[in-house]
Amino acid sequence: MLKKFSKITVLLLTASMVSGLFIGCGKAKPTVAVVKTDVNFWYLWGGAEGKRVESIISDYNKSQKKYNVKGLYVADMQKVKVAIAGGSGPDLTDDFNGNIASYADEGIVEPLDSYIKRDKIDFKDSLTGVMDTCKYNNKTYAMPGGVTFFMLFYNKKLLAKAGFTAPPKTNTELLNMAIKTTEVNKDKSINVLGFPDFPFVYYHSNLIASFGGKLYSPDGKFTPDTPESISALNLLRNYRTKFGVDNVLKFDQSGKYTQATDPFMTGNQVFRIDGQWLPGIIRNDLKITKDQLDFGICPLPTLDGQTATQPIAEASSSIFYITANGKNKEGAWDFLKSAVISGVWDEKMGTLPIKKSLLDNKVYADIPNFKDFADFAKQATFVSAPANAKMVEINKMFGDEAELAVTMKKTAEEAMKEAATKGNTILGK
Amino acid sequence: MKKKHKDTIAGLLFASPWIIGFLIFTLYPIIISLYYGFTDFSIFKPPIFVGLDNYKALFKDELFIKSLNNTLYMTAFATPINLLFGLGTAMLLNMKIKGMSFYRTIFYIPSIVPQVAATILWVWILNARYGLLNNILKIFGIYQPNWFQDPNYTKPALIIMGMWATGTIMIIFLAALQDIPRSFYESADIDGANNWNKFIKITLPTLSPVILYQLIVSIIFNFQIFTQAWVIGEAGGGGNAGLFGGPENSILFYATYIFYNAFSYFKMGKASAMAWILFIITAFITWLVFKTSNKWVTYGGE
Repeated sequence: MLKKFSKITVLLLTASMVSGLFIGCGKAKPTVAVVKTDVNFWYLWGGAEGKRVESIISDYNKSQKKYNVKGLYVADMQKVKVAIAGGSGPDLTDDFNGNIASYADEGIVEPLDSYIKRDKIDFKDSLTGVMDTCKYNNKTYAMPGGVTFFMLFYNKKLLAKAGFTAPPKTNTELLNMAIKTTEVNKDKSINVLGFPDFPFVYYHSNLIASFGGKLYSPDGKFTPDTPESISALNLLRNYRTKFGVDNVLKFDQSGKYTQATDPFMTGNQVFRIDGQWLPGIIRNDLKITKDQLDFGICPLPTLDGQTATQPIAEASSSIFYITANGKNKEGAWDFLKSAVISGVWDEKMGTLPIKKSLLDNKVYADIPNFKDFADFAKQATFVSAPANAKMVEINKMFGDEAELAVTMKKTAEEAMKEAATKGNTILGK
Repeated sequence: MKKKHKDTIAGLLFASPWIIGFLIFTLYPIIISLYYGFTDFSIFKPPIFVGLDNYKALFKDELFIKSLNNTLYMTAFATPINLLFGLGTAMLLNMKIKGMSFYRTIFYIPSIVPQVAATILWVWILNARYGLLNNILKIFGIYQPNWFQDPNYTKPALIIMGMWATGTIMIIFLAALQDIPRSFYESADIDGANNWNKFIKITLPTLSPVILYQLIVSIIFNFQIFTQAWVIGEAGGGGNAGLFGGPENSILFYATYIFYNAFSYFKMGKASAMAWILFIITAFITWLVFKTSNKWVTYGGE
């Protein structure tokens, strides 16, 4: 009897357990929390710009449910590289386009062509030549965050004081105006610098481009000894010979770039080669009014006798690249698409967009002199040196030789010939 | 025996945090850098053995030769100038006058100002147009150099900056001066010695062990000069701002070039080779100084 009772009990218990399972299955669906995967984005912008970056990140995170971008301000590029080498780097980071070739050679950058093709992204709306800043060996390794190029700023008051009504269009006109607008003290020190000698680092390669020259031949050889390059150096040499190299260099030392002591800001420099950030620094950061400094912006001069129909400018860009050993490349790509390729980044950061259709966007209306750069960008052809892995080394050597030319230690021809020889040795050509 | 063995183990255990740290963070990197010096290594890919290629390439590299020359220049000139200035200041601060502790503090403070801040300050003091030094030179009708744009004056500018921060050298000399028994000078006074004789015959020989120490430390310091040159390159103002090494690479120093090879050019192998060459040169010069010290260093009791 007891045995029979136990059997029945076991059967009943088993039946209740099994039926309980079915009841459970039928009544409610199981809830699975949607977990966003993290995308680590390390960026170089700090201060007010850093806050804008975080705002872009925040908007992106709210706009979709798959990825959570975590931004981190890392000012030290060496730190980023060492972290990548150690496998604890970001999924996405930014840099300058001149470095992309060496990174690609080292295998730390994810090629993007397959992502572009898969998501059917075209760049037909991009400014001519800008996407080349992100390519190496015909592969795309990064996306540009805005385009940078240089124009000629001029102090309207100082120009008018010397009797000129319009800025220069050619190299001869620039030299002539620079000489006539320069003001010299009794001890021959310079009080007002006519020439765009300061800062020198922006001078040479930008003028080579506007003169129609190229630093590299189609077969990748380094060619700094072109007539355009030598003309650009001789232009500066002629000015410095007139007023004395030592006097010009002492003047160059007198102020700090984009600070209140910057000679253009203090009204002591007539012509200046600089980028689209300068008006914002003048009007917004340093609060210099139009009464204090009335300046104009025009394209860089061309070479005498040139008949180019379209202005040419050298372009560079901040770039964003996905690290080859990143843990969330798809997430990084999605952020790139949504925030950078779409143009949102350029709008929020105030950088010149790479898309032609965005150049007239109302968001840029408040940025001082944005229109000058936008109007030029619509008509210009942008060129950039073809990326190579030795670019940093070559640029250093090139700068050293150019310095010898403009301090009269060598002629422009000697310096550029030497630069060509050394550059091609570095390239192994 | 057992207790001694136990004591040894206990001692090692107490010292183990330092020993482990030394092995991992000092000895291992030193040894591995010797290996990397014989490789093509970028930190992103595994090193590839290339034998002596890095060393051969270095001796054909103009910038390597330039950086070595610049560094040797600083070592040869800045070392004795700083030692003399430090000793001279110490002797002045060893006098018995009122308010001496205040003066000693004033002279010592510059050596505790962070190097970066001090360099930025000196960039303005030595500014060619508005700098304090050039304005003083102008008053006396002396030529005002373009300190950071003229390659002939960039290293002298750094030497001047270095003299300002000789507080540490001064304080060590001051302590040593105060250790010299007064009876030596009293005896010399009785014998009719003048100040110069007392300095040459008493002060210098007695200080010679400290001078030896200061000399070696200064040589090693000047061989590793980096911060000032780096900050001047970044903060130097217009001109060639943005190109490291200063005008005509006149302030491209050995340590700065190691840094650029490692982190800008990704040539860790070349940078490692440079580091070992620096070690050999520094060790050789230090040995040379020790070897000659028998002739000019007198220790107590001799």
